[in-house]
Amino acid sequence: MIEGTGAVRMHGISKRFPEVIANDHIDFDLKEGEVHALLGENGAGKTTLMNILYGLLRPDEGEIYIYGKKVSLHSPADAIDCGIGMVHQSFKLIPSFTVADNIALTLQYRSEFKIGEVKDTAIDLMKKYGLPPIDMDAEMHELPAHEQQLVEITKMLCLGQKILIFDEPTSVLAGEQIGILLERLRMLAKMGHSVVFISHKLDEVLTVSDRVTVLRKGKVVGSLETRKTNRQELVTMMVGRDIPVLSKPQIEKGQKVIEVQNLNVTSDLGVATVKGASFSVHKGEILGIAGVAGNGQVELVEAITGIRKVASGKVLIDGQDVTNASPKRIIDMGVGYIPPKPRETGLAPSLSIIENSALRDYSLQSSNLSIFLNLDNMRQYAKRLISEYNIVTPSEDLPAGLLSGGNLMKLVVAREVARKAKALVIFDPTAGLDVMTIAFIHKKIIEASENAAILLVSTDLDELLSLSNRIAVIFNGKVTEAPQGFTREALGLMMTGGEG
Amino acid sequence: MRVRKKFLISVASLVIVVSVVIFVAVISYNLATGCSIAKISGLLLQGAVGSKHTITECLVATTSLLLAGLGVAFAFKCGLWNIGAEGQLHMGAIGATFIALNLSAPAPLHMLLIIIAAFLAGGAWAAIPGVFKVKLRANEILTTIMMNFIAIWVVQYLVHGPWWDTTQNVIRTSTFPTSAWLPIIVPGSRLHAGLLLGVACAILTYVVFRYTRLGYAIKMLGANPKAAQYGGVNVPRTIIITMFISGGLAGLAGMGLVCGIFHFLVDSAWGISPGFGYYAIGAALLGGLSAWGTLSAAILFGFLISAATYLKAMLGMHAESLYLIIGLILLAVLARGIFIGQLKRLPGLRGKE
Repeated sequence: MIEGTGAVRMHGISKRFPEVIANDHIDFDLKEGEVHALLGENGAGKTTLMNILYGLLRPDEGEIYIYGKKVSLHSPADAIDCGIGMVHQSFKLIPSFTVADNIALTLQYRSEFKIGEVKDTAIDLMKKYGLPPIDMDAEMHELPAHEQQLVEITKMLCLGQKILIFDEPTSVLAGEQIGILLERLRMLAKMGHSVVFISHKLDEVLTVSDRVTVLRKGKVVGSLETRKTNRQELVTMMVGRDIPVLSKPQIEKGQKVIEVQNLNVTSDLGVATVKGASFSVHKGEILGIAGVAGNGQVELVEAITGIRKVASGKVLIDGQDVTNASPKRIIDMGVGYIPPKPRETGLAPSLSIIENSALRDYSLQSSNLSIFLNLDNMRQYAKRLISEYNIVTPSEDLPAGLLSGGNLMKLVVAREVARKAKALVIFDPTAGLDVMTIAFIHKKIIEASENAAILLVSTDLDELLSLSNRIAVIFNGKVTEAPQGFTREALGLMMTGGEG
Repeated sequence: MRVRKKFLISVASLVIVVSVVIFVAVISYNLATGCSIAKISGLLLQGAVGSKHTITECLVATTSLLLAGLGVAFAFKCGLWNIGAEGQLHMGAIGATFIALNLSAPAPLHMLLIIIAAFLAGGAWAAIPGVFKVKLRANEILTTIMMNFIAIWVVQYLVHGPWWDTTQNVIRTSTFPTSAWLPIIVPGSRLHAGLLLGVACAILTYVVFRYTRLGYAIKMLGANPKAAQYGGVNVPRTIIITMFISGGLAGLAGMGLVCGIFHFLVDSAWGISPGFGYYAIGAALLGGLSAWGTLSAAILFGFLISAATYLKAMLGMHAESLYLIIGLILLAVLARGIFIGQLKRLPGLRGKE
């Protein structure tokens, strides 16, 4: 491709974060009037690359050309000036403002718009593009997700943006709305816009895109014309070709500890996200649940641990029904939970390591009726966790938030494993950690599995394959166990909605 | 070590902020009145700690600020922005007045019942926004503020209506029987046993947060609500209990005012509180939400309030100008985060983290 043609050309883009290379010399180009899909697993570097294009992140290396002109994007404002617009996964809208207000807010970038004319401009543009009319005076929070997305699109059209980035736009939509959105993306391309479509759903990519670029672990695996490729080829590019061997053989099953029957759970937005999941985990085994993020993992895990209400179906621990029981009851039943991102759920960063060590046990201390904490025990317990897990800290009195990411996660793992729980629910335990810490945490999980039933939900396929005795896949809220002797590609297909 | 350095920076910044604000105050009085800086500083000091009278007056103000401030600290520690201490203080005064006027008992028992009633009344008043928050997700900042007005108007209704003692010159209830008077602890002053109650509550607050499971749950909920839920804390129950205790402590401040100072409940034109419930928020924040911090801040504010009254008498200045200083201190304290950030950037303090 000759320099100077096309809407966007990104050349040799690299972006390093403290513990991971998110983008490693990536080349990406976007032609005028095409839909270009960016495909890859979680953590492949798709969003990082697009955040660089939108000026949210600065690349460590590499050059960006917009319509052949070399640009330096320091902020989204620069990107907007270059005609780039982005629809983020979480909408950037103000819920208490009307549709017109939200659009007007964006237009402050273009002085020629007058506030009073915003409604007319927007309505005219939507008519021109054949978009369904929307009530300009409705407040944003009254609108369903797909209409909010429509407002986001209209915002960019009103700004006159030619280059449109959609970051997993279908993840907030349900059913028929997905098809409608994909048609709209085609229409936008036909009207001369250049569209980047970030996704990890193969069907959508195959339906909508002209070309597809596959990323894997921060690198470009390949860039293909969509009509010249197929599902099989793309899956292989996404997940690799090697045939996995479960490191641990199928073992003789112990007693059933965690059992989930026909479980249905809804998300915060009221969308059904876990749909009729049924599985069981036995003592002494690790059941891995693979899946691309956003397929119902959060809701599944929170329903089992009592943090989220179950819509229907049952959760049983040791044969006892704990459906919709309080988190405390489930803790008391001996269920440990290692949540992802310890700072968000697993810990209170501003409190001391001692206090955080006791988080899951404070209600169990000596007796449930005692008023006082046993401070000596708490300190000894924290010291024990620190030494057994080599947590690097000068003192157990420090706020936990001062620990590094790896040490924080070790603290959470230590706390949950040390309780000698009979069941452990683990969710993405090693995301963003360094290799040494990952190996250490994996070792501890395997040790813990000797006496407990472990449900390991992870978006990292390698992690699952190296730890699990059995593997199931969650896709679109449905949990399916992988058949005997599956290949990595088969798993990849199941994870992306293929028949597997 | 890192933590100690942080603590030092924190204390140093507090001291600097408070001194700068007081210095600015002295300069502006100097400009406004033409008195020399030395004279104003002297008067300020005299007004605060110059005599037995000014010291006890300072501690009288401290008493109300301390009790209400501890209440505020309780709620804030839990991440509950209870701005309703003023209303809860008034409800406490109502509860105390009710028992004081309608029940007769020997002094210690009467006083005990009054204290319990004041705590329950203030607590219940604060528990209402707590319930609203839990059941309806109502923002407690708004509900507690609005309930301040309701509480003050309930006082108005009572003293103008059913509780009005028409034989009095001003609109107020009858005077309490002496069994409902808090004993004076420094003879010849207005300083009453409410201060001892306040110190006892400060000790209790310290104990609750340091040693008890409830305090642990409250701290955890305030520090990270998701972690608290995950750790098995009963979030709705903890919110309501915390609001109840918070309001109860503010209620005790109201009790201290009616039983220790006024010995009756009075029309708001007189008013039992010049906004102690709001200054208490400042005291709690200035004290870093700790029991001892709140106590120290309550004493500092007490000095300032007492000095204000003195300056007013000596220089004919408006007492409001010192309330303005309290406001400035608060503003400075709240902006302290930025200031600490600046301090940390000083080369000597940077060190290795």
